[in-house]
Amino acid sequence: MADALSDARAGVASILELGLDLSKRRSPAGVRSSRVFLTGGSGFVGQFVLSELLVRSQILKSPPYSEFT
Amino acid sequence: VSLHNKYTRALTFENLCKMRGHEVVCLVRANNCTQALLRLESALLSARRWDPLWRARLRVVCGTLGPERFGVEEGEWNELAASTSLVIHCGATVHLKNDYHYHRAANVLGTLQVVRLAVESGARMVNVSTTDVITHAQQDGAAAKEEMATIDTVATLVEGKPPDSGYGASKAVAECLVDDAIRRGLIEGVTVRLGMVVADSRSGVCAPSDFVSRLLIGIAWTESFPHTSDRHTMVHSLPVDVTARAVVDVAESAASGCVHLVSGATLQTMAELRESLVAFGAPFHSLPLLPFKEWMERVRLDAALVLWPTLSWAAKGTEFPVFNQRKVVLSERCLQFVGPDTEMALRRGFDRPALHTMLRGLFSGV
Repeated sequence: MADALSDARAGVASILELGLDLSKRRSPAGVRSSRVFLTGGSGFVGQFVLSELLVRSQILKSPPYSEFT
Repeated sequence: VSLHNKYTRALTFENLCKMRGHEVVCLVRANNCTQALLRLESALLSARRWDPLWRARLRVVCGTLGPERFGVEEGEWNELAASTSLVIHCGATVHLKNDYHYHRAANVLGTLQVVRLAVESGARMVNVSTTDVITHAQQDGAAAKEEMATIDTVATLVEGKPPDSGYGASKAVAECLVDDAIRRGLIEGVTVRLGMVVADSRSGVCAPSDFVSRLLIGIAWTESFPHTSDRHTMVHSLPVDVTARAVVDVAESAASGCVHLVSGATLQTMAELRESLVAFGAPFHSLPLLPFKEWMERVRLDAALVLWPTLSWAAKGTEFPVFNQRKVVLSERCLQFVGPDTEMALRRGFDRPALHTMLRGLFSGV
């Protein structure tokens, strides 16, 4: 059974070994979508992070363009 | 929208555009999307933070942390990877009396899959971690450094420690994985370490089974307070709403590496806590001071066993435990990544008004 040290030493090699195709990887500059993916959204901290994200989604829905320039 | 100068530098125009009108997709353990949405709505309703208008901007993915691709179908995963611009990883298993293997599936293997999503999507990743990864070896009187955990950190956390301290080790390993992905140039991101998180400063909503909640309820039930000195300070805590706001600020900023999101307030002595509790009134009344051993006996005899499960370890000692030994401080660097309102709230920390709001939430009906 793997222990903490061997997991830490392995790093992300295991997902690379699983066949992650890096050629399909998008560069951050190529990201044009606007979805936020959240884990733990029903946990104590996560539910407040979720509501904060949703509040900001409303506030920033139609910001006057000039205010950000 | 008013933006603080230094915040403007971090909160780039590009990031603001990304956040504008965004959808939030949540990973939820549920059998189907209806159940998953209900679970989220129930959680936010309980937190008094739900607005029905949000349904239009909330999506769910039914899956769990641990299995490959969260256990979702390949098509759904690919759609997720094609549409995600920001990943905030708050999910974790937390049980302070269980070992590393108990936490490994969610906290280590789950983080691997979150990293994988960030790699495939090109999204920025925010890894929410804990100050529990800070080892005593890092302390040495100085403030804990904002540096990612290393293999040495993991070694220090596991060597010679009882097997029931696996949570911190699992989060340290998760930090190593995220750091490894960043060093390999696979992702861009930041690890945000949280300290003790307590009630919402506006509503008082809290997690009643958390340590601070148990401590406050336990003090009320014992109708007394332990003898302490100035060395004994209340657990340095931050309201959950302030924590959440700061996490999202950092997510929107260009922060990288490791950031400690903790209270910037001066440590409060236990004597000051007692004053605040007495000032609140019922159920605290006068809170007479008792020798530590005598007070712990009252904690043990509390029929509801509110505080005993989380403080019984201290019963072997001769005095009240000394908290805040990790010396985690709010850094100027951290403040560069948050907005002015968040900065003020971080500096205020868990102050007396926030404590009294929490107490109203805990003891409504008393």
